[in-house]
Amino acid sequence: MSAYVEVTDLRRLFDVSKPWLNRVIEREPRRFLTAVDRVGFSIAKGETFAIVGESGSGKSTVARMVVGLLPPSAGEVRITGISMTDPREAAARRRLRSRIQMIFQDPYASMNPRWRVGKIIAEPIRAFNLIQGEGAIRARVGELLGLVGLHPDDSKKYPHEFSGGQRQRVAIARALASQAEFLVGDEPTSALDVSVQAQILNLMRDLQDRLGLTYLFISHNLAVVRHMATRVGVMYLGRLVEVAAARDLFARPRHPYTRMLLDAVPDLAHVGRARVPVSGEIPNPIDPPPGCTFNPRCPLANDRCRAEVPPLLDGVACHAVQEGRA
Amino acid sequence: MSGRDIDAGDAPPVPLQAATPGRIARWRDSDLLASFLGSKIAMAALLATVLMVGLAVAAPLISPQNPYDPAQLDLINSNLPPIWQADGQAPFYLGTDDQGRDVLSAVLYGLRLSLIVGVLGVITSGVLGIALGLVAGYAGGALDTLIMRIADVQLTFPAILIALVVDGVARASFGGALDVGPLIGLIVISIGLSFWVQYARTVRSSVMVEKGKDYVQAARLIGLTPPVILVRHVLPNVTGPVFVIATINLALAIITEATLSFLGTGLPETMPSLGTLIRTGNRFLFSGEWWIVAFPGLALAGLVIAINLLGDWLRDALNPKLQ
Repeated sequence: MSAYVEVTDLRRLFDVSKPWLNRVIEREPRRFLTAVDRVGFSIAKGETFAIVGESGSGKSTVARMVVGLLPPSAGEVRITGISMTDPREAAARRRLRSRIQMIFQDPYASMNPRWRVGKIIAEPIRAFNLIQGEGAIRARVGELLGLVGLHPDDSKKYPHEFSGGQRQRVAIARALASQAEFLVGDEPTSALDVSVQAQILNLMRDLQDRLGLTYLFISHNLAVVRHMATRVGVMYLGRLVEVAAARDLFARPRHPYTRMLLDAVPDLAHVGRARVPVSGEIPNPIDPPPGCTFNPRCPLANDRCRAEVPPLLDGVACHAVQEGRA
Repeated sequence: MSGRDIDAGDAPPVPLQAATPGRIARWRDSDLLASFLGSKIAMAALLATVLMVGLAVAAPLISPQNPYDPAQLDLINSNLPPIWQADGQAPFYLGTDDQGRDVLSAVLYGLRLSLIVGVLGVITSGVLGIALGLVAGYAGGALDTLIMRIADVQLTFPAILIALVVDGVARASFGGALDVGPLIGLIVISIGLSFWVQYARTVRSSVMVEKGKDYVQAARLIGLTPPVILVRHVLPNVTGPVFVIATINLALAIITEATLSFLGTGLPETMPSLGTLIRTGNRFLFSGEWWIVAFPGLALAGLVIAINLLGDWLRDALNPKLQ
């Protein structure tokens, strides 16, 4: 299994310091928020890797660093072996650029409201100079609209004339317009109605089968992840706490956090069973707890957990699991 | 992969068949037109503005006299009162000044100059302010701080003072006598440098909102460079408030030009704008020849009020909080 995407030791800090003058007057040091801390994973070609986590866990930050919208503070993202940050590989990266696209969370904000859909979808084709001639571009836009289940005539409309689900179809068509083979979906369905969500997810899976796409799928919705993912990474406060094949993760969750999340999910097979609600809240990332960041919420935490950061070993970052206590 | 446990049907939705309305239809159905038709003040202001612009454009065709041509002036006709007074003579309907210049013709030609200078001044300050606002908002950081601090400093001076300084420095360095063409350019630049701050601030704040939106991120993803993104995607989405400022600033620019001319640093007496006419006419106010100053003054006031009312209406009509 050759890795299509290789992420190693990815970190991202955000400067949340007060302005320089306030720091000087109030004698405060600079403050940084660690949004993503030493995250590493790999995605094989044709696979769907999902990252789940609560809001504030850093999953969207990972997505933005993977596609190159946000520079990492440390670590590296390699896609088909080409570094997304190394300035020496800028030329190779430009050629790679068209093959990586993103589908955004809010289909209302991801399109220029003043452009017709045809122009929006044609923009990547023109930017990468993929097809010459207006007629050929128009034909390709029509073909792409058909591919995502819209009508070629829809290219004459404005984004506001579409429903949320249809707009997300347009966003997928735009992502495919540049002949992308790796799509990063940053919660692509969380702004949609449940029934429409299923349509969009099924469309994404159909397209994956037909075009051999590779997905990085960001979501906080476990049902969606179960539907889409081949492998899942669970993020908590900027760290990956568990990585496993989707089937294994849902059948045998190992990290206490993953178990807590899965216990809280309503399940038709176990109607009537008391669900354990998720307890506690994600701590403030500016001032994270020492040791394992999950320790304040963890039923298995001991003194070691409050002092040492557990490394990701064999797909799970937990002292209790490694010590056999869980 | 496991079976599809969420399944609400894979059938694509039926494509929307409703025809997309064209530009004219969208304009006809827009709230802006409805608001315009509902406001008598807006309609009157637009009518007055269009009328005065029309008069200014047609000045060479409709004025009885070319006030720039000394050969047409005759001192015998000097200081004639308006036609409805006892000594009034055709074709000097609004009387003449001390040079025998027809006041009506001078006002029409002056209106023309005031509008030209005002419009060019608004365009200059708009282009300058929009460009700086786009750069400041998109780049952020040190460049943003630099541009906005310059703007802050500039706001501590009255606009007219800046215009006077620019005008004075330029005149001193070119040495007094300037042709009318370069003189108009100079006044336009003074006005442009005095009024860019408002555009820059407005555009900057809109850009800061827009640049975080996903359509800008999507444009970055396909490798577009910041200048292309700014012009192609951001600029068209931040122009709404700019039009309001431009309308209100047109009135301000005309006033500034008139003030400069009134103070004697604007357009010369041989090619008078409304401000120059008011300045020259001012001298005769106490000797009884009121018409030399009154008619240019009325024209200026009417023009500025009409444009201001139009700008006020536009600002309210485009403000979603007032609807």
